[in-house]
Amino acid sequence: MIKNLLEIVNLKKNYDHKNGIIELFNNVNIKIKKGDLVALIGPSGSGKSSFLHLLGLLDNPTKGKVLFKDKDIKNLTDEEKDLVRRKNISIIFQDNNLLTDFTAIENVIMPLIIKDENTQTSRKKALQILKDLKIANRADHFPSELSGGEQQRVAIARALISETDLILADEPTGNLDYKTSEDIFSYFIKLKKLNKAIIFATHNRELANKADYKLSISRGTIKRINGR
Amino acid sequence: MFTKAERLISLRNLRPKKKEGFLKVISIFSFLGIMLGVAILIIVMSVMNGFKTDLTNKILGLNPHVIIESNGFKIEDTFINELKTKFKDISISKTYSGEGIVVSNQNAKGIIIKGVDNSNSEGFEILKKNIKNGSVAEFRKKTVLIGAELAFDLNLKVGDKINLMSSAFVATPFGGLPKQESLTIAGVFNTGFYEFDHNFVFLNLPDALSLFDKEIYEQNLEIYLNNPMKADDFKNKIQNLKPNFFVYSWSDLNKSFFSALKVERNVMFIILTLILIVAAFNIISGLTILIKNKTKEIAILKTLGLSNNSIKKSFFLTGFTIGFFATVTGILIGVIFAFYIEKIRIFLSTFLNLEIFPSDVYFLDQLPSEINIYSIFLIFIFSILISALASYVPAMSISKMKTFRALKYD
Repeated sequence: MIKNLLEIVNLKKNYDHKNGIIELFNNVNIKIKKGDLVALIGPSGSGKSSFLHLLGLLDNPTKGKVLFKDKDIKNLTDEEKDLVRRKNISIIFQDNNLLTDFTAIENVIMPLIIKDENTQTSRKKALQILKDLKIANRADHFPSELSGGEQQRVAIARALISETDLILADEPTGNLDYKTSEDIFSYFIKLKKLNKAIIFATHNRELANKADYKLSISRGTIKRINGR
Repeated sequence: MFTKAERLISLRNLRPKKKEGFLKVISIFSFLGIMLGVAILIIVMSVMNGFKTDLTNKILGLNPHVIIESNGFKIEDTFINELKTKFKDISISKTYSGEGIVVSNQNAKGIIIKGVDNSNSEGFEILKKNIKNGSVAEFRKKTVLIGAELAFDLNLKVGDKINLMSSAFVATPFGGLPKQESLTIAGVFNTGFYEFDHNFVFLNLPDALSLFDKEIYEQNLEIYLNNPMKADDFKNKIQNLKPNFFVYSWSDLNKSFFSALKVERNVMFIILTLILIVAAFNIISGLTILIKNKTKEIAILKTLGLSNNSIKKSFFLTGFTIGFFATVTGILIGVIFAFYIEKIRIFLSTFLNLEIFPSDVYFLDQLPSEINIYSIFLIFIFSILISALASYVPAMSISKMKTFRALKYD
């Protein structure tokens, strides 16, 4: 049986720069279980997004291990990592990152299309999520025709549709008003109840305090702060 | 072959947004380039095929399919009977040809004198069909048939007398003199083949043999086949039968002409395929720009779990779709153009008041065109391969891209 959904062991991450090596993280050890709702906090530039990057298998650690369902990602090929992401990980980006050539609903169903699922069923499912996020009336609009908040909700809908075990969200409510932020968070709670793990980076203390626990990034280290 | 996602992404790439106007222009030029390249290739190849077929038909009409020359040995009736029994569906005509001079009205011209057996009509079927003045029925002993160009040059008409001199000599008290005979013009033919109408004089076989001081067994045999394209096979069979005789097929006699035509056709094909290659470069540049513009989208798709291979395939499909539809459109335009080429020529000649494809230069009354399925298939395959290669090269560059850098992080 898989103990942890995600385990970080002695992780170190450096970036090469023309002025020398930048050390981002050193000796990070974290375990994420299914159903965990985790807030990632820290000042701007502390490396929250880079950390999510590593968790999303979009980057490799300089040293240490990232174990996803007990499998060291270092041993996976790019194709295998793509497959792991497709089946297990959804990412909500800080600046939405919607596909500009596709309408809102097409953006939402894209993860299911990639999985080669039935288009009609996927559309129905997407429409329901867009309804829950109060943006169904914008389903056939292109991202350029949506406001920042609407784009963010579409991005969240896209992450939610594939019902992956792990959702990584980089300031998902940054562009949203208080009410919608609350709605999004309540959606996260629902997902948590479905045994999905959610790690979200945020500057919003109120939301962070509602998480099971917080991971605070500061000066290359990550500390766990138990919440609620 | 292509998944739903790959097809969908490829389809969207084919509909560039307004701000990607330059990309749209490149896509249109790629399409037009390949379409025109394919169409031109088909038109030119069809005209070349038609040209070759028309000229082959002319040559086959003017020349026997196989010629057997005695080469100093005897060609006797027993051999002719042997051929007739051994090979069905052939027609044998006895002939004799040689170089000579025609003298008339104080004019002289070097010509080819050809004696034909007028009891076998196959040998001069072409003359029967193309008699301009006089009649083949009048073609008897001591008469000749001459070409229209020769008649015009020497100012001759039906009923006129001409002197023919051969390369055979007769001994006289004054020394050796070329053998000559006076003959009457029974008819003037006009095949439309300048060289033929200008240089050939036909007479009866006994007259020709007498003029060249030859015996009957020194005659040549001209063989006409039901399928002239099998002349070379037939030639080999006869050659095996009688190794001492000289045997030529019609393609042997016109080897240099057909080689020139073939070389011309191949060179034309190579030159015109360059249009396709240049057009394919448009696909390469268009796709390269598209991939560059879509770096962020590619990164997003990867975060959604779409594999590198699928992304490559979707961009490959974008380029290939342009190439495929351009090729199919090019084939349609090319075939329609090739089919109506003569009407188009007439229209352009009238409209531009210009003589396109003058018949006296090309020996043909109309612009020939023969749509050859094999040529079209070859052009289709070639164009598709070029398009596939042009789409493959930029698509492969995706694997080298650091796509995640395109995603903005802290």
